[in-house]
Amino acid sequence: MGASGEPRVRDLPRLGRAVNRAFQTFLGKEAGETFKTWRLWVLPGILVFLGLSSPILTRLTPALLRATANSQPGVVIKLPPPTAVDSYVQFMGNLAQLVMIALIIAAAATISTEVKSGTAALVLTKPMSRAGFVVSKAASQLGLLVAATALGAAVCVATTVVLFDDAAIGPFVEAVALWLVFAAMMLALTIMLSAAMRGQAPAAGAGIGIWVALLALTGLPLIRDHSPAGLIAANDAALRHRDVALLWPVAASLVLGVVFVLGGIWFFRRREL
Amino acid sequence: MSAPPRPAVELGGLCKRYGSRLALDDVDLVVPEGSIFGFLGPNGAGKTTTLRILGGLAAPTAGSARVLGHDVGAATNEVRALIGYLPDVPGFYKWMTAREFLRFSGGLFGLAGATLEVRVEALLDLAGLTGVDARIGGYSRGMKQRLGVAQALINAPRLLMLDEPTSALDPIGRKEVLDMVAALAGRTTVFFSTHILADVERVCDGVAVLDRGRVIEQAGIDDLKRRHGRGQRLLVEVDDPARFAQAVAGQPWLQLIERNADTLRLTVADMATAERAVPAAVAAQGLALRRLEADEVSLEEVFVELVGEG
Repeated sequence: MGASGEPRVRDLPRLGRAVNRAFQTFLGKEAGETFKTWRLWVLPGILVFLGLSSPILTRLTPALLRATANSQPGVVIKLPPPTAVDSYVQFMGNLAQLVMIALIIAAAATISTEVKSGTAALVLTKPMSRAGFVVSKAASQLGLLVAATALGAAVCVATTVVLFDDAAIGPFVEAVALWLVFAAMMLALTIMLSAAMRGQAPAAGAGIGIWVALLALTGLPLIRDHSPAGLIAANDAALRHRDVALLWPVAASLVLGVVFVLGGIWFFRRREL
Repeated sequence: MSAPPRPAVELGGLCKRYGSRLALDDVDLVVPEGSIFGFLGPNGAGKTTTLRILGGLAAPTAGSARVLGHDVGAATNEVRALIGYLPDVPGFYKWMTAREFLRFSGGLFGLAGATLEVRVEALLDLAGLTGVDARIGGYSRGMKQRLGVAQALINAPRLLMLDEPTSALDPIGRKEVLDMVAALAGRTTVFFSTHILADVERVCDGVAVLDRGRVIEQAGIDDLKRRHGRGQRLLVEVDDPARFAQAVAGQPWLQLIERNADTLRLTVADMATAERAVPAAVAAQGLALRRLEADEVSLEEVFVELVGEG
């Protein structure tokens, strides 16, 4: 500071270190925003809830069905006793649908909300590159996704161990990991759409549309076995110890994830704020 | 011999088109470094578009825009490290406090530690937000505007660009911001757009007037008033304004006479003749002359004349 208390230009560090620190600062802001806003409750909250409810529902479903059948004369329902695998299948089913939709809707707001609210203009008139902005968003959202999924999965395992005799953790961890690879790719895709489109709704709509298209592609074995679509059913196969082609779907998902982040940077660099 | 000072802002043939609408049409502008420069224009003239291009938020369709010698399109982080920018409606992270937001802003410039903390405290004091621990989401418009000015100063910019900085402030808030802007003269170039012409008259060295995407005038304030503003004026107060008005009506040196309560404003073609004729007419009517002074042309009148002619 100068004698008058006004800051001096030479207090600024070199530009390169400044830009790196800008990236770290923005990433820190993203983390702070997660813990201080509603973000903390959406994805983690949903996953913890599913982690608790999936084993409980699996345990109670046969009894509920039998009670229903008993009220119908002549109807007999015979069900095998539920197992830990059934609990995990229930959880993975919820991940594949409910959580995926929530993830896409949340990710669609990632960049478009900052542009609409004007915060992006204040940030990007400082030494924060648009590439750094997009990468920070992707990194923070991915970190939240992994942490929330791990938390939800841990709650599911703990509840399953309590309710069932066998924990069968190994196949469950593999299934969750495969789902995370697919979810990370969808996250990157939706962030790219958020950078390209004006508004959360069109980005979310496009993201969900592409996800539905991938679901349809699981019916075409050649495409399924060589694209991210192959990961959609892979987690169920992992739980049931069935062999499926994983190399190409995993590789394609990882490569596409990077491509989508780069695409998000490309779109955002051309976008006027 | 020292080199001439480099302009803080240079626009050369700047054009910006949105579809079929030409928002900026071949704009040439030079803002001297160290000056406090006002950017005037009616709504939709292109002022905000110009500031957004200079801030790197929009790209020009044609022409050049240079800030402190750097092309805004090419040397992006280099330019951003030197400027402070306040949009007309600043957006903040509502979950942050003012102190957190200023720390965040300083961190984006690579500032940290004691340097950052000292600046944050000084700017909170400047913005009148010391001791305000509430989140920004609960701030009034005026508080947000003051915080916006503070965040634009966090890096001690060489060029401070403000888009309508006093529009949301009460008279005391406006005075505080204008005093702050005036104190930066000679140390920081201030380039701000405003509709409040009194603010420009109060603090600016120079001004450019933008209308329908074109700069129609750029000059020092006094030079602008001298060159524009129709006719010359005298303010006259006598004990019987109606009788005096009747006495001078039709005189060749008199162009227009306007009355506001007891004050008559005479627009005259020949000031020298009028200064002799008015006291003579007052004496001839047996009236008491209470006031006779030249009325300075206001910037508002110049602005209306320039924009109205366009």
